[in-house]
Amino acid sequence: MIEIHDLTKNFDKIRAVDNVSVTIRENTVFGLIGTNGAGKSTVLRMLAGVLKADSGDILIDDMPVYDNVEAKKRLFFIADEPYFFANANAQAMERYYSGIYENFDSAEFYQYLEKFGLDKNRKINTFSKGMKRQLAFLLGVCAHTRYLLCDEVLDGLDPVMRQGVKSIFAKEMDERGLTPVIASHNLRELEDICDHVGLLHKGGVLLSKDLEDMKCNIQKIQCVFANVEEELKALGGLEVLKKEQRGSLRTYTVRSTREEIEARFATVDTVFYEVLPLSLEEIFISETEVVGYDIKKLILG
Amino acid sequence: MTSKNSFWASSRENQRRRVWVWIVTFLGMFVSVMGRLLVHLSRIDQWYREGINITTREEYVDELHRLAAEMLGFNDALALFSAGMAVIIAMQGFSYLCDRRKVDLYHSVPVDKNRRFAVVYVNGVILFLTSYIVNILLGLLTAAARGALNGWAMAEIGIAFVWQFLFFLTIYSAAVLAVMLTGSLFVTACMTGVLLLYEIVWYEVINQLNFYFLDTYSTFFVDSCPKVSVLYDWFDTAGRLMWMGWRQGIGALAQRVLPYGIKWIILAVAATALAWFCYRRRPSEAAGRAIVFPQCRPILKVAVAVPGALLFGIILYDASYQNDILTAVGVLIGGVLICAFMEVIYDFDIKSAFRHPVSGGVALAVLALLCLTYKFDFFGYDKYVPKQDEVESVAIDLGNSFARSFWDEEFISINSDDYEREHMFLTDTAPVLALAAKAAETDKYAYDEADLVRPVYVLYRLKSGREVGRTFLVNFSDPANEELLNRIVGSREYKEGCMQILTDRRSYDYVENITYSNGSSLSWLLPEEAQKLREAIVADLEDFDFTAGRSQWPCGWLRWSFGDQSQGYSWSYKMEIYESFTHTIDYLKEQGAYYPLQLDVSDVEEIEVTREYRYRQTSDGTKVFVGDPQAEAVAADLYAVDFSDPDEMAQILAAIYPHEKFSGNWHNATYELDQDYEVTIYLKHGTDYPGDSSMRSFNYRFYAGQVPAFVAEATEKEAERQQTP
Repeated sequence: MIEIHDLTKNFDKIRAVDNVSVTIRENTVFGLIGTNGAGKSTVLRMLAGVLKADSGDILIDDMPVYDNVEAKKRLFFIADEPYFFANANAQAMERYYSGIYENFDSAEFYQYLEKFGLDKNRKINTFSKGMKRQLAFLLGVCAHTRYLLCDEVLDGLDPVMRQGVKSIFAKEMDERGLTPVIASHNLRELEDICDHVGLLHKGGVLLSKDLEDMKCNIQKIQCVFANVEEELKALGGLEVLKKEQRGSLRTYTVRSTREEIEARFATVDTVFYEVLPLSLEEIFISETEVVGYDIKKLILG
Repeated sequence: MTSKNSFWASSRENQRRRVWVWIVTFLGMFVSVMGRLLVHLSRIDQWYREGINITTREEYVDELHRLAAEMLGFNDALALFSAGMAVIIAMQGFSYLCDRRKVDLYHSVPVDKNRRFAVVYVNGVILFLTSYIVNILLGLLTAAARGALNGWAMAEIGIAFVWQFLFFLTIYSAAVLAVMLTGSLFVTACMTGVLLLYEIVWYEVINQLNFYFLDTYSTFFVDSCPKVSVLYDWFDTAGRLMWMGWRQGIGALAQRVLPYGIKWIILAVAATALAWFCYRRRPSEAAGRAIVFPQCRPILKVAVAVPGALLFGIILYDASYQNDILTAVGVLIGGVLICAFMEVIYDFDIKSAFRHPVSGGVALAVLALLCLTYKFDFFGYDKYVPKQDEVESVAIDLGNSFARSFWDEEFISINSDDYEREHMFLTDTAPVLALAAKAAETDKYAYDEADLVRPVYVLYRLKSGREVGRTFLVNFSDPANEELLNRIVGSREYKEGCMQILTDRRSYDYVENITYSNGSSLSWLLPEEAQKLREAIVADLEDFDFTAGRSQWPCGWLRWSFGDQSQGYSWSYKMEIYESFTHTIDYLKEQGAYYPLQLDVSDVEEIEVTREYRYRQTSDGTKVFVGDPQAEAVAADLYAVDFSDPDEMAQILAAIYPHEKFSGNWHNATYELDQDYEVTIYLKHGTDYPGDSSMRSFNYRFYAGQVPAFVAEATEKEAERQQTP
């Protein structure tokens, strides 16, 4: 488990991370979301032991990570711009990492390389940006560390490769309990992969919740009521987060379970009603608007 | 089997990243060592074949030994290359710290930080050492195959190997420290330059300021030098160490090298420890930042701006012929420019030039304080005269010693200050302190132009153990100083302190010949006479003092020529003889070697007197003649007249002095000889005067006021004759 308590980091006079506290459970995919400059990379670099926090603690399996070899053995950090040695090829990088990570699985690495269509003898500086990301990802996966810290790892990957990456995550989580921590500015990219999401804004955490909890507890209802009384009867006691109206068609975002909503609506006279799941983006919009943020500006620009 | 994560596994991995540096180091060394060795070997072969400088087989072999010792030992090209590579290896090894992407990789992987530092540092040393050892071994094999190695050469090469390696290590450690303090390669290079040259620059700046602003500052006896600059050490010393194993033995060489070795090891250890400390403290986010620790920025800015601006001011001071205002403006502009430059470097942004005015202000304030301190001598440097009870002894150089050649225990020529510092211990310090006090109280511009005022150099040895060197002006024409100068010059300590021939009896074993000359003759004495001659001189010097020196003209000189064939050294000592040296002159007469100063007219064929008319030319072409020989003139007309009448020649011979042959030790030559006339004596063939048979003419001048009237008249007529169209 990774525990982050009251983490703060300043660069000169700029506060990059402000009092962040998050817990990342094992064998879950943790998505760290935020705009550019929100502090995602800084948090990840501190998690990786690259940067030292000005205050607060980071514990990797109860061990502080900064300057701690034992803690670092349990994680692999894929930076947003991964570095490869000058004139190196994939084989040379494998040789380097296999010399450092005790459990590095070279055979698996070469298998994955083949599957991803990456030539082990080709110089990395001739690779495209996406290919470099794939290689970095494969090196990280094959290091067989418990935690894989990925900074924008899906950025620049085509849909097929993205799917490949996701399936590798699933396989590694299933087989050895890998815990990926993925930072991204793109909500849609993480929607179908994350178990838990933390939203960073201006260095602080706006939100940190299990995706399932969020999805189960917030529903979107599209309906047309027979009359106003029926509408009041249906919504009475429900926490309405958002209401939209187009003609007689009402769209409500409410905090409740699907079952509870369906039970209520079964007793009222509606011309039409439908309970719809929310996308991650919609959930975030709803949740953050509640606390006073215009999430569209934060996440979607 | 080595563990995956062992030191050596990490080391091997690191070496893979540094192959190109190893190749560059090896090739550079190959050129510096092997390339030069081969070129010089072939040159020596050619010289031997063609008989240039090397004629015998022994000379050839000696030359080969010296060459091997030089090329594989204290090789200056190798030293320069090593210094450059030390910086490159250090920068390349730790360059990852300047790149965020590399830092992300290296600092996130499970490798102990201390180990990484050790691996990169040690690998840098190994990288240099392997190239160095391989090249030296190749050189030794080549030299051995050519018969260019013998015992002393091998030993000297061995000692030089350690010396060169420690030189590299010290610069390498300084460069590693520079990397740790900076976050970009350009700034690292600048910082390395600052660390390596800072003391030398300060030393030069302070030295120049002292010379310009302090009247009594002198490096004559106490010449300070940079204390911790390894570059200064190398280039000041290495030349003297070359072939020392051959000249003085390996023991002497090792003894000479040892203190430097110890100093450099201490410096390298200190720099490495500091570098490691900074490495531990260095935040990863410093990659790309000019200066890693922000609190160092103002300190560094002031530290660089102050000597830099002073250097700028000194250059302007020279260029403007010591104009105070221009110099002050120069210092100010230099200070502002350097501060601005530093800020631009810090932020890599030209718009930052005038940020942080406080630190810039501090730099300018320090500069102003320093300049004012020098200008107005706040600390009373020039007024300093130690109290008599503080002084143990004094050495003084009056600028007019009896002789100006000195040598050390190895018979290598040394300067007079080096000799006098070691051998002159005046315990009667009162006259020296009195002269110093008088000079401190006298305005240097208040002396009469006619007075003979000259600087003297003094070394005060204080009872506290401190040594203080000073220079001050002494008016040699002032009768009030005569008694003081007599006490100094008349003392045995003074004479023994500046006349090596009196005390260094060991040299007498190496006398090859002794000659005496009165200016035109040259007579030879047997080397065996050296001791007796010395005794005569010692007896004559008993009563010699300043008054005796000032009141007489030298009537001849003695020259001792020494040589040590086994070491290939030769040196000589010249001493002027006065008419009051009766013991010496009597002895020379006994040996048939004495010739009086005044030549016998029967030996002279002819005398040519040349009158010199110095003049300045006006814009219309008119010549304005300048009577004063000291006055500035742009040109001179020369009018020569020959005299062969015996009576006239006798009058001339009685009034002339062979000025070119004597130094005028006691400052009485320049002012008491007539500078308008040059007299050339042509001796007859077959004259009694011995000497160089090819040399028959000698130059003289008239004593001031003793130009015979017929000479003046004849030369004037000659001038008129030539000027009449």
